[in-house]
Amino acid sequence: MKARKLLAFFVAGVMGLSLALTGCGGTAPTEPTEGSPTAGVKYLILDEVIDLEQYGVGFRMEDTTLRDIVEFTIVEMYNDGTVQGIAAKYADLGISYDAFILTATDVKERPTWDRDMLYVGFDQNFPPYGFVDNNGDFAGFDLDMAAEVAARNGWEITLVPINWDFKDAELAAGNIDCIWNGFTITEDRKKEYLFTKPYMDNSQVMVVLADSGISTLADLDGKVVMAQAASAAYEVLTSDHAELVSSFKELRTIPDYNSAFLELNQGSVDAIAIDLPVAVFQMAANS
Amino acid sequence: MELSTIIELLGTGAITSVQIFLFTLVGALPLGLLVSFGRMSKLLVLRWFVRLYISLMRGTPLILQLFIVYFGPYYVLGIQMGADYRFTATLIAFILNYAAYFSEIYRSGIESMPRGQYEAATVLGYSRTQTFVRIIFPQVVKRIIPPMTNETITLVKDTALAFTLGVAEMFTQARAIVASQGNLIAFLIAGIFYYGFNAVVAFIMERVEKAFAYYHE
Amino acid sequence: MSSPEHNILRITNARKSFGDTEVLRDISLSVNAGEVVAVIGPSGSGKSTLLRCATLLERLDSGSLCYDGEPVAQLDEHGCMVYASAKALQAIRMKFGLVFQDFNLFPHFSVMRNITDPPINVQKRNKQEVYEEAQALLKKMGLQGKEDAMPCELSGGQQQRVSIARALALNPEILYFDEPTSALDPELTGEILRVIRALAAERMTMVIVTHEMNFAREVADRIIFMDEGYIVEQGSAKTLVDNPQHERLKAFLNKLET
Repeated sequence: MKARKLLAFFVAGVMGLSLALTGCGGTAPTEPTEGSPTAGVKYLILDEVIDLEQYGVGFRMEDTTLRDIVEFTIVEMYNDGTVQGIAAKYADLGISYDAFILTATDVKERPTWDRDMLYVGFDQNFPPYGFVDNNGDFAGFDLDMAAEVAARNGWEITLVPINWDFKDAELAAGNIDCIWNGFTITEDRKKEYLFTKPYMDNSQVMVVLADSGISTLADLDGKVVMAQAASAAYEVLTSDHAELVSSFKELRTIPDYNSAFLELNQGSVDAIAIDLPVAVFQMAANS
Repeated sequence: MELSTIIELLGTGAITSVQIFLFTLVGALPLGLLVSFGRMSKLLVLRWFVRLYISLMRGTPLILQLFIVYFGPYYVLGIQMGADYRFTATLIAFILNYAAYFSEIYRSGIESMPRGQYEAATVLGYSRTQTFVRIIFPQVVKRIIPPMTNETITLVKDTALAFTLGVAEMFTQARAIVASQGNLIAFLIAGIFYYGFNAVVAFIMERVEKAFAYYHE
Repeated sequence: MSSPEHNILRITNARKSFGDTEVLRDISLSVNAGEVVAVIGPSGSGKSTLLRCATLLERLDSGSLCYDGEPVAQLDEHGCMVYASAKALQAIRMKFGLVFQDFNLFPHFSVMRNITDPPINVQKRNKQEVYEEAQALLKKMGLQGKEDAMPCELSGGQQQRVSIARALALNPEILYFDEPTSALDPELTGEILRVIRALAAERMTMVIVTHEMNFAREVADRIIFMDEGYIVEQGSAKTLVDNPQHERLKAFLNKLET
């Protein structure tokens, strides 16, 4: 009887693991890491930054009023020290108050908006900006910011976890009012979204295993690099760094960064292109 | 995150998964029967329309259908469906997809019935409706239990596809927990859940099959 | 109510084709109340089709079909075949019963339910009364104690007797048999023949398509020999079998004997 239970547990365990690895597309690990799969794995962020960029809150093109209110309120929160408090809350998870840059706005006075519910779209698999915290609630620097903005304007807030691949469609279809989730401002995106002024500096970096021997971008020649699908890292690599990408063996995408770290751990990819705070969070969570 | 919190989060996900499963069955089982009637209709137009529907549903990925049902109203018709549409869209896509599969199972069952059963019923004076309800359908049900069991088990696993639309079912929840925790325990629990869920489904279908074992043909 | 002259079934100048194949060519036939008619003939002679047309499972292309003198199907002034309304046909169906070659019992119904379901749900008769009649029928068929059995638990002969009881439960005026013993092992045919003989003794009007010559001769008042869609010869059992006129009938009878 006991043996049977053990067997059932083992089978279920194998199933759970295989579910976790569905993202790896059947690629066999090139070099299995020694010992336990996650414990003791150390990471390295390459000194060379792929790209410097900035986050903004994205709206539909026509929603200028809403954009202005949000921008106005964020500056207000900066001026009275609220932003610092929120940043401090997530300091351990990779948020740096020094990176916060939305300190002034051209919006002179608070506009009014005729709705009372703000639908905020975010990727719940994107800590530290939006994720499920230890209490099982939605949390994150951006979500706390959004909640405070809503409160100050007398709105209710609905946090809508979305599939990041479909963020354009969700916004256009009116299922959400804004994308507020470490949303990188790019020239291409500016044509499709109405952004606030940038509120945070960010850099796109490359994370590798510490013992991989890779220390520069040039070392990635012939290596497999992974980025989240539809992410800023992927976009910047494919648009501004075509030469670098062509040196890779392959640039692969995956739906979320957590799976990317699983792949890095097991050796099926050599590097991950990722937002710096997300990298800090993931490295902490995976070590 | 405490294990109890993980289990609580996954528990709400499990309820949503079970809801998707049950609503899909409740919707797709009768709809599939209607579709199978359309597929066997004497009206050529209806028959071809239904054939097209079935081939589209079976010939394209469910994950794509979820996307189309959810975003189609806006992109095709310009209608904003609002925030509550996410779950409804999931159910619509699942029901439409599964009704197509079910309809073909019904059809194969109905068409496998010997003509003599219809003739005996006709001669005995049963109306067309009575013939179907009293004579044909109960026998069809017995015949289609094995393929229906297969589809039902597939449905349990397919509910995980609702993660595409961000519906907070088991797999979506597990992904979010794994993302913030950096370990795979949530996936392990999800795996156990799906396995257990299917064990229950298999058990129930076995009982149904036994209930129909009081005769053979 | 039924004088010897009373025609229960009358078919005149019946024609039926399947595609280019003419299966019935100008068939005329009437069956009187209390008469037992056997229809014999080689396979493909049209005898089963005749039965299927009489039981409304197939439609005639031309000719007329009457039950109790009431037209069921006839040619209109333009020469088109016209059948009575669907509702009228439902009523006509209550006048006859059909026993199939392969029984066609409802496998998901018990023996009792096979017999009682049509009277209760089609004729909307009183349940208690139907059950009592069914018990009597089962007894008559030698199937006492089999009420709750499922058809799959019975032998072929028993199944065929259930199907006869099922047909009789609707109190038909005429009972058709389509090769009732062909699907049975030879040793089981006897029990069916005994039942039919008993029904004949009660003056049940019957039309039996069969290839059991001995049986046809013994039980039938009249034998009809069909070949290639025609009624080639008919007459009393004795004259037809002992003194066949037509070459084709002679050939058919010879073949059976060898």
